[in-house]
Parts: sequence; structure tokens; C-alpha cells
Amino acid sequence: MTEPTPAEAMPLVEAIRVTRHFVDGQVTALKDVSLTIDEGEYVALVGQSGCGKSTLLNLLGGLDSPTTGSIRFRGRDLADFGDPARFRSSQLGFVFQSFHLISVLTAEQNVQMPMFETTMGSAARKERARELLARVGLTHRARHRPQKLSVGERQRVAIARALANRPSLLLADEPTGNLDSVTAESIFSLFDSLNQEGMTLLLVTHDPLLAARARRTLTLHDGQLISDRPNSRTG
Amino acid sequence: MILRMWFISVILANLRGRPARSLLTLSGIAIAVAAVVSLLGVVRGFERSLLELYQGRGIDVMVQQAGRLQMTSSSLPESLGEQIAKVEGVAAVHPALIEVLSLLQDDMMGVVVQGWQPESTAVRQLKLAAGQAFTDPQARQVIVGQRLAAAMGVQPGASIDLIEGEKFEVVGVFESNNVFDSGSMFIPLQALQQLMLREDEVTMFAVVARERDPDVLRALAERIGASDSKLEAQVADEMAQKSTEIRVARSFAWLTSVIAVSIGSVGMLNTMMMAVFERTREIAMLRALGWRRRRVIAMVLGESTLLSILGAVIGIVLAVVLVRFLASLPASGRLVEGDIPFQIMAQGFVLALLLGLIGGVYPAWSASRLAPVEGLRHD
Repeated sequence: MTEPTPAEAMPLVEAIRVTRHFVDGQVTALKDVSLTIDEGEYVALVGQSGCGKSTLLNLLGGLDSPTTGSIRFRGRDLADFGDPARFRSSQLGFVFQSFHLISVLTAEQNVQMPMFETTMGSAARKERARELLARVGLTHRARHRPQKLSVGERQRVAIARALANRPSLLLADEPTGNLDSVTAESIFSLFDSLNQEGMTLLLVTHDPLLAARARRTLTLHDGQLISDRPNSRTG
Repeated sequence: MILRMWFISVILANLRGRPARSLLTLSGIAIAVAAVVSLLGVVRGFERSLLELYQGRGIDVMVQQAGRLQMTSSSLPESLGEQIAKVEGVAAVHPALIEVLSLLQDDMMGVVVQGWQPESTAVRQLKLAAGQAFTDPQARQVIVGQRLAAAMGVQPGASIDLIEGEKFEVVGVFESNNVFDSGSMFIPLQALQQLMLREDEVTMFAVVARERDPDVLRALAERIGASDSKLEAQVADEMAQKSTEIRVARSFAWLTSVIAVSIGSVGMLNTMMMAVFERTREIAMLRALGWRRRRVIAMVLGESTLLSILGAVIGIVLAVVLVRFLASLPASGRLVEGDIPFQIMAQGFVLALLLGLIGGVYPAWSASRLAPVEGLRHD
């Protein structure tokens, strides 16, 4: 068996000794955290409330910058990206606990929002939005506004939106936090199938069932990474 | 190109999705634009009418008493006309007495009464719509402009009480596109002098020149002015621009416009700031999804600009309706032309766009600076 080349071995995303302070250094949300996530992985990030999970997710997604340390995406420091928005647009998909859909737009229009930063034309954009809504089983709800959708449907729209620009990494912050168990299961299945298709996923969750669906679990405690283990289910 | 058609559809959806706020802003802009366009339109019409008034009568130079701001306060001996006629370049001189009367019987305030000699160019050029011309230089006869006749409800054969007990017969009604002319009345000079107890007195001399080149006319006005210290002469075309009434009206219109624009700008700024504040999480989410700052700026500015364009259209339509309505009223119709020049409408449109930009720039910039992490936490 040949050794992988440096390019092949390069992780998709890595955190190198990342520390994040808030309130002029009085609060330490993350302390010296290092981790790597490879292409195609399905990772759950767990821990108690306030342990720094969302902070780490924001840093990995380029929404925030570390106080010390660095975040690298395919070997490139995020600090070197001139405009992190462009990086997020082309490489990342975000799913939030409270969906953050735009109330005055239809499901189809919401899904199209990330595509505004691409060169896609109107027809291609619509077609892609319909394709994604079909992918999450919401073809019949394309012209409905979020208020007319159930919470589960809203989260599906949010997932479809996150997939709009074919991201390399899908970041989800408590994606089932507002859902009942039946609806959550449909979202778990969706994540499973996305990962089976090769997408890299990092999910922040309190939900042990969702964490168990991932292939690897990272555990944070008081801002420190205390555990990084493969899950037995898939392991 | 950021503002593609599909992006505009998002902007439209944002505006439609918040109908109350959009309508309120639209109303504010429309009222500001309507105020500015109608005021400037009325003043411009006023100015144009004044200019046409002199041009239409074949008058080249106007002579009045030196140092008088208003023509009606000017007083000159009629005999000075012979002296003016001798100035080189003068073809004819027509004395005139202009008075402003209030006809209490008809409840008409500020009616311009023009006393001219029946053989003068001003009277000969009147286009009679009904009745006939003066029959006698001293007769107590009056030819009334169509707008004034309509406002007073008089026709040839009627009698008008100019000053209590002083009756004049309406012998004719003349038509004129000029709002001043049409809202005034003509009386033989001598008859008006007798009525006002100003015999041998005039307010101005209308001079017809031998040559109509602007430089020649300016030189002629200077020569007339230099011929007697009591005289002040101005080229008729320039008089409209220099008229005190026009300058006061223009200043008033601009002052009112500045106030309207300031209120409109603050309204737009307030609306767009509220729009950004209400949508903090939404904008933060868009930034998280990869929207660049300039796209967020384009969205907010696009919304304010679209509101401005719609407000401008509504405001201009309102102004046109308002000015036409004013022109149709007996009280104001004598002073207001029914049409607003296209140039003024264009100014109103540009003004509305500026309102959109002024009111939208800071909120747009502020939205684009929003940190996604902070914004997503916003309640």
C-alpha cells in the first residue's frame, strides 16, 4: 500500500491550538483546542451547555476568529481568506437550531438565497432549488412561506438551503433541538444519507441519539476537548 | 452586476412582506416629492408666465421708477414718455398704469388691473373670445381675461363695480394662455388714471426697440436709465428673472423644499434603520450563508431606492393633480398654471432618488458591518 500524498492526507478542516476569549479576556470559551476533520467524516460535537460547542462551530465556519491559534481549511489558514464570506459561500453549509428562514420569502426563494453569490442564472437557480426541495421531500411546499410550514418542514428547507452551493462541509448547530422525536428522526436520516453520498458533516448536539448516528464524537468540557472517539455503531 | 432581475424580486418580496412600513415610507416620500414638485412647478409657471407676458406683447424694455422693488409701487409722470421716445434705438413707447384691486362685491382679492392706451400694442394684441375692443380712450369700459371672467361669472354687457360705486362695463373677454393675462383685466389708461386719482401718472413705460439683439437691448436699457435719474430700465426678458415677486417665490419654494427633503430623509433613514434593526438576525444569517458585504449593501440600498422611485412616481402624480386642481379653483386659478414643466418633474424624481440614497446609505453600511455571530444572537 502506497503512502498518501500530502494533498490526499490533508484534512478538510483543522483547529490548531485554538483559544477564544470574550469580554476582554475575562471569559475563556475555548482553551487550546486542536482537532482535525477529514473529507467524508460524520462528526458529532457534544458537551454541556456553555462548554464552547457553538463557539467552536462558529470558528470552524469562519463566522468568528480565534483569539490565538488558527483554523485551516484544506491547509489554508482562514485568516488568509480576504473575505470569509466568499469562503463560506463556496465551501460551507450552515443549519441553525432556529432555522433562520426569511419569513417574507417562499421555501423556494429561501433555498435560493445562498446562490446569489454564485454565477447561476435565474432558471438554473430555480431548478437547483426545486431539486433540493425534492431531495428533502418538500416539492409540494415550494411556494409556501415558512409560517405555513411545520417546524420539521422548516428545518428541511434550512437543510436544502445549506446544500444550495454544494458545500464541502455541512455545519449544523443543534439541528434537532426544536423538533419532536419523529421529526428529528427524519432529519437524522437525511444527514445519514448526505454523509453516505460523501458529504462531510459536523453537528453540534445535545441529542445523544443524533450523536450516536455520527461516526465520531468530540466532547467538549469547559472549553477544552476532553474526548475524541469513533462511535461504536459505525466504528 | 449585483442588481439582477432576480435580486430585485427579493427586494420586492422584502418590501411586500412588510406592507405597513413600506406604505408609510412611500407616503412620506410621495408627500415630500409632491410638495417640492408642486411648489417649484407653480413658481416656474409663475416665472414663465411673467416672461411670456412681456414677450407676447412685443415689449423689449420695461421702464419704471428707479429704486422701486415692485412695479405697482412705481410712479412716473406720463410726460416722461416723450423723453424716452427720443432715446436712440427706441421705436415706440407705451405708458401703462398697473394697479392691484380687491373687488369686494365679487370677493376677488388682488386682481391686476392694467391701464393701457387703446391703440397700444398690448391692447391691440388682445385675442378677443367674446365682445369687442374699447370704443373710446376715456370710456369706462373693461376687457376681462377669460380666467377672471369665469371666476367672476361675467360676460360682455355685464357691469363691474371696481371701486365702490364706480361701475365699468364689460365690453370684451379675451383669451390668453398666460395665467397673469388671463387673470387680469384691461381698462383704457385714462379711465384708470381717473378712477385711481392718478391723472398723468403711470407705473411704467413699455418700450419697443428698433433692434432686438440682446446686447443692443441691454445697451438701450442703459441709455434710457442714464437719460433720467428717476428711471430704471430693464430688458423685458431679464425682468422676469429679476422680479422681486419671482425671487421671493423661488426662495420660498426652495426653503419649503429643503424642509420637505429633510423630513423625507429623516423618515427614510428611520425606516431603513428600523428595517435593518428588525432584520438583524436575517442579515446575519445571510452573511453566515456567504453573502458579501456589498450584496447586503445592495439589498438595503435597493429597498430604499425602490421605495424612492415608487414614492417619486406617486409624488409627481399627486403634484400634477394638485396643481391642476389649484388651477381650476376660482381663487387660485388666476395665479396658477395647470401644467408642471417636465424639468421640474425630473428634478423631483432625482430628489427622491437622493432621498433614497441619503436615507439608505448609513443603514446599508451599518447592516454590512454586522458581525454574523453577534447578529445571530440578536432577539
